[in-house]
This record gives sequence, C-alpha cells and structure tokens, in this order.
Amino acid sequence: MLSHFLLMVVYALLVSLFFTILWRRERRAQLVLFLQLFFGMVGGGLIVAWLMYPFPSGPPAPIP
Amino acid sequence: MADTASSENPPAAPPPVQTALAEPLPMPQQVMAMALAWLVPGLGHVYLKRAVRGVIFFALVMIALGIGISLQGNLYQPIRGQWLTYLATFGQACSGIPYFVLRYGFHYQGQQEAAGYEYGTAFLLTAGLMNLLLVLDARDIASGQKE
Repeated sequence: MLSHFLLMVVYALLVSLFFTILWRRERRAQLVLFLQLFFGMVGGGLIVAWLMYPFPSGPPAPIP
Repeated sequence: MADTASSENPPAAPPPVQTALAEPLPMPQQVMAMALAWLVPGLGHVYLKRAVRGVIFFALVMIALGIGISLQGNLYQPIRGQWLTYLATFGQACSGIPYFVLRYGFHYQGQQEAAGYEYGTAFLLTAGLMNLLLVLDARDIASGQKE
C-alpha cells in the first residue's frame, strides 16, 4: 500500500469519482469527466515527476 | 405594398425558459440539510431525497478517511503561532462526526515517523474538504439552485 504510484492512482480515482458524481448527472457526461480528471491527474503527476527528475532535492539515498 | 399582417398579428413572445430545478425549501430545512451534510458525509443528500448519491458520497469520504488513518496521517489540531494549523484543522473538521470521533473517541493523532504520514495527511485533508463541498452542494440543492 506504500507504493507512491499506487497511492497516487487511488487518490486520483477517489477524487475523480467524487467530482464526477458531484458535477454531472448524465451517464455519458459522467464518463467523459471521470476520464478527463483521472488521466489528467495521473498523467500530470507523471509529467511533473519526470520534469523534476533532473533536479534531485538532495544526495542520492545509500543503497542498502 | 405595406405589410399590414405584422401590425395585426405581432410575433408571439418566446416561451419561458423551462428549468428542472425544484422550489427552494424553507430556510430551516436548508439549514438542517447543511447541518446533516456536515455531521455525517452524504446524510444531507439523503435528507434531500438523493439517497443513492448520498450513499456514494458517504462511501467515498469514508474510504478517504480510512486510507488516511491506515497510513497514519496527521489529524491536525490548532497550534498557537502556527496559523496554517488552524486552516488545516478547519479543513479536516469539515468531515464532521468522524473527525471528532477520531480525535476525542480514539485519541488518534497519526505518527510522524510512519512511512505514509504525508500521504495519509493528504487523504485526511481531502476527506474533510470533500465533505465541505457536500455541505455547499446540499445548500445549493435545498435552495433550488441545483438539481
């Protein structure tokens, strides 16, 4: 459960479902908004992660 | 040749805009819906006869809370001189009864040393803020501004 990626996906899933049900009534509009929000959050997170990759915040962690 | 028909039969006025919105409820019922929505996530929607939506919202907020607790996220309380803790406490207390049960019933605080501490805090904050939106949504429905 402590995988960063898995937690990000679960978080995106919860929030996307919440706003989909809060903001849309028709089934098709719900599906479209859900996909936009979910893949927007997961994809955006991955893009930001790769943009930060060349700029580590500190020395690399020692290999155990 | 003058057109006399238009002066005798003026064009009909456009029909009034049809809205599917309900009549606003009396103010006491609006306040009751908001209070119930704050106390128990989704209960405001159940009170407003949106039971399915209310149950789904309850499940989503509880899942977020459950994940936050299982990750040992921080349950904020105000700290003098640290103003952001007031804001964070307000955000988490918006989840209603679950917040107070955790704080005063189980004396839950979270563990800063836990590996999932930051993630858990984000989930706990999100649960409270989702319920704040549910309170505002219940108010919109009760006042006839939303279906």
